[in-house]
Amino acid sequence: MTDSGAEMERELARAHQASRQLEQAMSRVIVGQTDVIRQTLWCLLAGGHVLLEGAPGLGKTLLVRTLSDCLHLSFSRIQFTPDLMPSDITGTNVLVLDQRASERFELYRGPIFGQLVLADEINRATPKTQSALLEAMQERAVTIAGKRHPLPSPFMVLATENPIEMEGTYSLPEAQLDRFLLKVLVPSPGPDELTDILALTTGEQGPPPEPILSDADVERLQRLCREVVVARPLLDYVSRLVSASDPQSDTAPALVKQALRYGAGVRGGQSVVLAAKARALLEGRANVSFEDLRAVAKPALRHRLLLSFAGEADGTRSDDVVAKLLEHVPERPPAVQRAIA
Amino acid sequence: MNDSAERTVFLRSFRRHAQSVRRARLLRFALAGLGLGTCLASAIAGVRFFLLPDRPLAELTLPCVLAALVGTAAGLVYGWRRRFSDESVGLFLDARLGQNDEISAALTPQESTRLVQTVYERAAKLLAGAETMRPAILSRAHLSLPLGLALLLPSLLLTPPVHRLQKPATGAELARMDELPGLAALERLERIETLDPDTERRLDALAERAKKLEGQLENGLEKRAAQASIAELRDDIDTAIAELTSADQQAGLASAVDEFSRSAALRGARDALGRGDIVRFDAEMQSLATAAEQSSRDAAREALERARDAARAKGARALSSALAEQQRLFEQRERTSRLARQLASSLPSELGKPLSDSLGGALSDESMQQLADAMEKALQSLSDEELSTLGERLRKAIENGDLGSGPLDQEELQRLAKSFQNGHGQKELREMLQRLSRQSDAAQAMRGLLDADDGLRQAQRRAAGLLPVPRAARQGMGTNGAEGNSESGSEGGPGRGPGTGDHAGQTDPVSGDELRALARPRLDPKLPLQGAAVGRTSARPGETALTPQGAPLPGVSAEQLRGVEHSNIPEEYREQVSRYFAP
Repeated sequence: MTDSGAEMERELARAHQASRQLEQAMSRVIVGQTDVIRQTLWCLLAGGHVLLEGAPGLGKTLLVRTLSDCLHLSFSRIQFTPDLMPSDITGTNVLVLDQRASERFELYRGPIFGQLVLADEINRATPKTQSALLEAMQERAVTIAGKRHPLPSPFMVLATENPIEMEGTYSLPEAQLDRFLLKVLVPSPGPDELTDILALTTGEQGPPPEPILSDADVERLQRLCREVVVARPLLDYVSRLVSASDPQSDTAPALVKQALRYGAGVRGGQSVVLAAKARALLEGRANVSFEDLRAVAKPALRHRLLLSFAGEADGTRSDDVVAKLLEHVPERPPAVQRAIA
Repeated sequence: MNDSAERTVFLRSFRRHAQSVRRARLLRFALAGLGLGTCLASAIAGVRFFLLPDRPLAELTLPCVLAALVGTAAGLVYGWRRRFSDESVGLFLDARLGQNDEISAALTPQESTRLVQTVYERAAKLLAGAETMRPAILSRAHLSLPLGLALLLPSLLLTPPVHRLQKPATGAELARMDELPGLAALERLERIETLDPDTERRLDALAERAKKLEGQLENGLEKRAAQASIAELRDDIDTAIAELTSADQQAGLASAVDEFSRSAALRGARDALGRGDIVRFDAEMQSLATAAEQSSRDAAREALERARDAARAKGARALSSALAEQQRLFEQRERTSRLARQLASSLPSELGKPLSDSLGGALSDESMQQLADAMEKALQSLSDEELSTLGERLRKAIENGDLGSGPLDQEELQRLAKSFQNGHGQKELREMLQRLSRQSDAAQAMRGLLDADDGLRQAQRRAAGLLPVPRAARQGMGTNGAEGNSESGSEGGPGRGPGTGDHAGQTDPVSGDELRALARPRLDPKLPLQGAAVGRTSARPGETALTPQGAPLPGVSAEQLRGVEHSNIPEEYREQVSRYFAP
């Protein structure tokens, strides 16, 4: 094995070890949400943003805070309310007097300038305010009074939304939903997990977890994540998967044609590949597998599929459609599939 | 080790596995093709079994083997066209290894990233530790192979259900091969070798038709149909016999006959040639070649040469060839008879005297055979020393030119002399003498045709339920009236050629048992009276027999006519009934 090869093997091993440590550290605080933790870590390594959806009290905010503790990144929280203004997020220029009593504008940075930004209950703000996040999430920069300000790196938005209390909420526009790499569903804990949560949260509060990765480590892992190899047939598979999600496509299954208005677009495919790369890296692998693609398909695609009226009326869920797509689109060419069987 | 070296190691392992996978797939398609080919072969056998049961089984071999070969070749071609790409092989190996698609990743050309090398290394390690993997060779499609065989074998082994397809009418009798032994004579036609390709082709065609008829008779053929087929064959044999002495040879024949008229010793040969009786002519020439008198032999040799030239000059090519062959045979026969005489004179007097006596005149087939036997017996009684002496004498005779001067014959004679000196001359001599009785090609062909016709005649009579009778002399081909009665006791008819018979004979009486209404005579489509043909009914020579010939007849269906044919109406009234329905 060459020196560079050995070095890369060490890098992969470090990534794998870091992921295990992060998982273990966060699991000590967030009980029973292993999948949520993992998916959040995929998102972190892929350099994307995550939308956490779950009922109140499931630990969404705690998850984000714990992640920031483990990563030693600056954390800021924005509680979205209907009267929240865009400048409350991005910041604004304020008039200040200097020592010589002359007036000048000084930038007052909003909470978006954190490295881990928790957009709590994002669907409670007005669309105008929600859209303030758009530039930040996509461009990783904000423009205040005509001046562009880059955001710190690594930068990650973790938004939460409550699917139960829909009154007085504003559904996120598709354009904004599309900018979230993953939509992670936070499930309610089971009876055993609930018992553990009760025991953990009603006693003496433990110390916060020790930082495991620095911002430099995170950036290095994010760069390494981009270098994970994806075989051409796997890219073909993602391409076919995304194409089949278009109701107008000939390859779309009947459920897609009936229940969807719009399918996952190009960003959907990119999200699947990036998240799969992150998953492979966290498992210490240098290449993506079909298993990675299958594992990330639901969180990466579920918020990009727009249900039709018929689909909503039938009570079809996006996850059902993704599951159908995975079942319908063959991973390998038919001849290879027959040879394997 | 650099990047390309890592890749080389991986690719080497990969190619080994890929080759195995591709071979297995090729075998899979080839076997599937073989299965389909076998099904095709079984279909061919099935067609023969159900629709063409009269075709001989041997004819199936080539189509069946070809079908299997074509199927296999098609499978190979299809398999080659559908061979796995490297990408597909990678996907297959990944799935079989149950790993994380590392081989596919290593096969994908990547931009230079730091992890590519790691991917190559891991994939190479994975393949190095893996056993040879190949896709399953057998699939459901391969069931066609046992299925094809299961269908093919019964078609080959079971007797075709001929009775079901060509169900004879109630009461109709079937003729079978074992009841008609005379047909075996036709098979011999195929083994006759002649110099004339047309004659050989004609004989082969007749033998082929005889085989087909045998195939039908093995399965059982309705007696009337068998009689009709036999009659058709006899017609064709008649035609073949006539063609051997066809009209375009007549001018040459007349000139050739003239050449044989110059000497009284050649009268027999002249008559036989004039009648076109090639068999007899051959026998006459054999007698002349082995005659003791030098003058007779010289006259015959010269006549043969002149006759050959005359025939060639008149454009009778076939006759000219036959005479040339006869000339060659003549030389051979003459030389061999001289050898026999030389040997007889060289033997001790108590052994040589009887032989010399038998060699005093001309030799026929039978006397030649007797001579060969006697000569062999006499030689066997000699001691080794006597045999050696005999060989020495023979060698001297050869050197003195007493036995002729043909180069090939010289060589043969030298070998014979040497074998005598070695004490093994008896066998060689016997073979040489037996060759004396060999007939000419034309004579063999004629003899074969006559024998075949004789066999057919017997078969025809057996099929008609009559006892076989000896063959009667044929019109034009038998001995003429002046030469007496034929084998059957009937008198020979006048010759067809320019013979000098007295025209006082008469032909055989036409037998009354032979109804040939089913014979399918060749019709000239330009002539009127479609559907009607002049056939032969022995009871009423020259009467018209109606045959459907596939053409619809007004007012009566083909089934009705067939019903009449297969009914229990006596033979002699059947035609009248048919004509009543279809005038």
